[in-house]
Amino acid sequence: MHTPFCVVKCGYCDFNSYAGVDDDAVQAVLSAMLDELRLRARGLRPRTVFVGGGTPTWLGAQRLAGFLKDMAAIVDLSGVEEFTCEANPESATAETLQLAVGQGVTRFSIGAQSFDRERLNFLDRPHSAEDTMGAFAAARATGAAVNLDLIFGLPGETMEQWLSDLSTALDCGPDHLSCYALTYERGTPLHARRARGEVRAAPEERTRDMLLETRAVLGDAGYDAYEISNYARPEQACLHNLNYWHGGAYIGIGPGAASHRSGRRSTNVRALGTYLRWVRDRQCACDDAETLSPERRCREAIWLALRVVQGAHLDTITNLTGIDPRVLVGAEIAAAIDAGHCELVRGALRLLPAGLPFADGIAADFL
Amino acid sequence: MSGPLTQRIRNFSIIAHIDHGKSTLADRLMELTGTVTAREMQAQLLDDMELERERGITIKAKAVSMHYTAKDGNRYLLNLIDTPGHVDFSYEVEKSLEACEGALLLVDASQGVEAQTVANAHLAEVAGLAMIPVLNKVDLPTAQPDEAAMEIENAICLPAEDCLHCSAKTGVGVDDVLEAIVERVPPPEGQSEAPLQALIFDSFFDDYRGVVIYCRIVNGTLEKRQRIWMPGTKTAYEVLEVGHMKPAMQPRDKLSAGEVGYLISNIKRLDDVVVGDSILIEKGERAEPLPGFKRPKPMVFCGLFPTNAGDFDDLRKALDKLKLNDSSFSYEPESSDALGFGYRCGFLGLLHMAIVQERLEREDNMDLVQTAPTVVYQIQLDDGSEREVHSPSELPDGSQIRAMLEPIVKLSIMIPAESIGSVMRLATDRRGRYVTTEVIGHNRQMLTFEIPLAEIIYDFHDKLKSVTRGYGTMDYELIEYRQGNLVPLRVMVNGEDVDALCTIVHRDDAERRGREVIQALRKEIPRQMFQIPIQAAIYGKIVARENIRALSKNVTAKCYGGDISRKRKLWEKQKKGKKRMKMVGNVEIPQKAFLAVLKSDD
Repeated sequence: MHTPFCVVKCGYCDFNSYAGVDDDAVQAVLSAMLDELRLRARGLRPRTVFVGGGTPTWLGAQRLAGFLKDMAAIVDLSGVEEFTCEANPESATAETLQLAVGQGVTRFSIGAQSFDRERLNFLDRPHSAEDTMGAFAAARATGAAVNLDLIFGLPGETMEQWLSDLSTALDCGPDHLSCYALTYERGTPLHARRARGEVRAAPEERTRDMLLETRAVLGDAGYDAYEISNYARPEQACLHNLNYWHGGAYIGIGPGAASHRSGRRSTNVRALGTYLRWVRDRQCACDDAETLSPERRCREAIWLALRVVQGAHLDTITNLTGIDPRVLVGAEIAAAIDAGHCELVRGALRLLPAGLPFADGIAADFL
Repeated sequence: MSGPLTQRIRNFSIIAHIDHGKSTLADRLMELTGTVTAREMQAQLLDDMELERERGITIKAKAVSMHYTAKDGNRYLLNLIDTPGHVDFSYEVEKSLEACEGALLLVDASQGVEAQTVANAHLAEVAGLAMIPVLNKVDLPTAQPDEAAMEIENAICLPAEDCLHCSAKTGVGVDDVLEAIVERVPPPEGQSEAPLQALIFDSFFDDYRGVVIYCRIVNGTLEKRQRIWMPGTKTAYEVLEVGHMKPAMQPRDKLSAGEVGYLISNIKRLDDVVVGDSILIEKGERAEPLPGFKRPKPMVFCGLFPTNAGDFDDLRKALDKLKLNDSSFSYEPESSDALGFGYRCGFLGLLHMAIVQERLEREDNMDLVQTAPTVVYQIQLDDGSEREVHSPSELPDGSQIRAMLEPIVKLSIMIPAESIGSVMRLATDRRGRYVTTEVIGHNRQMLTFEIPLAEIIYDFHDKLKSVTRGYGTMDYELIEYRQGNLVPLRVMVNGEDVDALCTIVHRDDAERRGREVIQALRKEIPRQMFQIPIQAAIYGKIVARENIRALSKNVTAKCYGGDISRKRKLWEKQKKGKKRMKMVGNVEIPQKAFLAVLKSDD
């Protein structure tokens, strides 16, 4: 469920989200999302739910709870194993989080990003480190699992500064941590600032060292690096995200949301006005869709699965797509192993530590 | 009666710079003479190849016959012979002009005379043609007809008051152009009773009828079922069909002295016909061949290699096909240690090279790696023997070379007066020797240099455009081969000598060029998982060296909200870019790097 609203639009963010949307429009989008949900998922019994965006907590306690309640009336949530709601520190009040849990939420993902005022400022975040601490405590108090999102590799950021952020996060004791290197996405203000020379990206070597150091520190603290950017205490890996990496099916509701089922990938239209009209007039907000051939699906499956610690299980991929990766990309597999980037263990192709910093390049070789 | 009287024939061509409106004027002439109706008229009828239309130039000459009733009440046959115009095809231009008695010198009234106009006007003068200066686009608000007429007088020595004014676009003044053709172009001379003598000025390949020849009958008559002889290729044929181009082929019984038309025999390959060759009778009283015949020789060579070794056979097929329609292009197999199997291809010039490569990539969907273009060097060896070198990698060991000669051209550059300083610097930096300056018009001058062809074959034209803010135009012709102190500049990537990156440079420039090449490669070769040293060397001595640092990280954060399609498409696009790279040893070198060796950052 993609709620596309934020209090401000951060300079690095390329999610489909909008700041300053008036109440009527918000209401219209939320009800269109519920319409879309009715059209596409009535009576469905999902295993995981993820409410993100955007900032769901920006809606406020009553509106968010009402929305979650309406959702629950459309889909059957009785089989849900994990129900995540994203929360931003400036709007994650105790009341909002409490009411959300009352509607079935089992996990909060808090956009902390950093605990340093300057770095929060650089990222345009509308909250302080204290707000984050408060939000974390409020989330904990509900009894739900808690994730913290952090960003490293900001311009000028030193290893010490990053490790200090990481250690503050660890002091909170979250169940899960997502640590992302700052990326400069095309079309964002940050990307433009870098292009104009106002901002200089951190050196590659430093962000690589930060990535490796993060894995070491979090490993020592008992967090399993189950995916390239994701760390979890035992049994706390995010099931919803794992489903993405394993090529599972999911329905994305809302402006710009993405869906997948059996090799058919589709994306909703991003603009709010168009989204409203399409849901109303066409009963479908899909803007772009592709059906992957078995061969492309097989290639994609390896690419995605390599991000996960268990790697790409070749027999599973053969069963899923009907194409044996050993036949389709045997040479690429051999090359990745020869280069010392991957290993084949119990039928699964996995990244080795030496390959980790190059994961994208290695995975792209299979596309 | 067969055919119009010789006195009523006018054979002419149009000389013009790119975009000065040649095709539009040709269209208008055909329309006014009723050769084609406005409805049949496709824009740019004479330039019918897609690529030519896009580049705004005519590559292959064509001819069209038009009937025109002049103000004197007589009906004339006007044969318009289209010329390719560009310097790369100057031999073909020459032969087309030799088929005429007159030429329209078409100049854009807002642009004035350009270097190419002067060069072609000079060819027309040598061929002894009557020239009619025509100022086009006089309807434009920016037109300066008086200024342009002055430039014509200064640069080409045609009196300013002889200039006709017209707008080919609106049709204004085009009547006067037709009348001037009748009045000022002399009728062809020649005897229909004399033995046959005809000039081949162009040919093309028709999928159904084989080779179609365009010719001008100089003396005698050319008839159906006649046996003919071509002395240049030493072959005999039977004439199957002759006729006029209107502009579609219109068969006739015969073509007589002074006429222009087409000829079809049973000729299978374009290679069997050479522009400039003569057509004579096979048996009986045979006339002398027409003078000035030669086979045009490729001036510029480059290697073309398939990016995927498996596509070699497809490349061969594509080149075979291309050769069917372009006999001036040559190719022979070449093998490179770095690039594998490909072809060494010869072209008349740079434009010709660019056109061929584009056609291969567009029409045959080939992914090619092109090596840096090179001129033809003449090498004199210690044992007294001589040889031609088309590729730097063919150079013999330095100790065996007594002398190396390189082609020198006369380079004419037409520029606004304020650019003289920067153009001087540009040319002299590239070993140009200044010859003269001519004042052509108010604020326009023509500079002449002697310069090695090798110095202008890559980015010279771009640089000229940039230092003259787009106003400079250039033209060149080969004058001679001269000895130069030349050395091969070799390039090592990751310790491996990459033959395809080798260039031949002047000894005095070698260090500087070496540094430039290494800098350019450093920018073009992407970082890989290990450090890559790149070095430039002359006869084993390293003159420049740089390291490409190893790539240390290549991993992104996440696939946002399950939007996997977007990320995958991004990666697939990058992967496609990677496909255009060539593995040399264990280093991936992109196509652009092979050309970067000629680029200079000045």
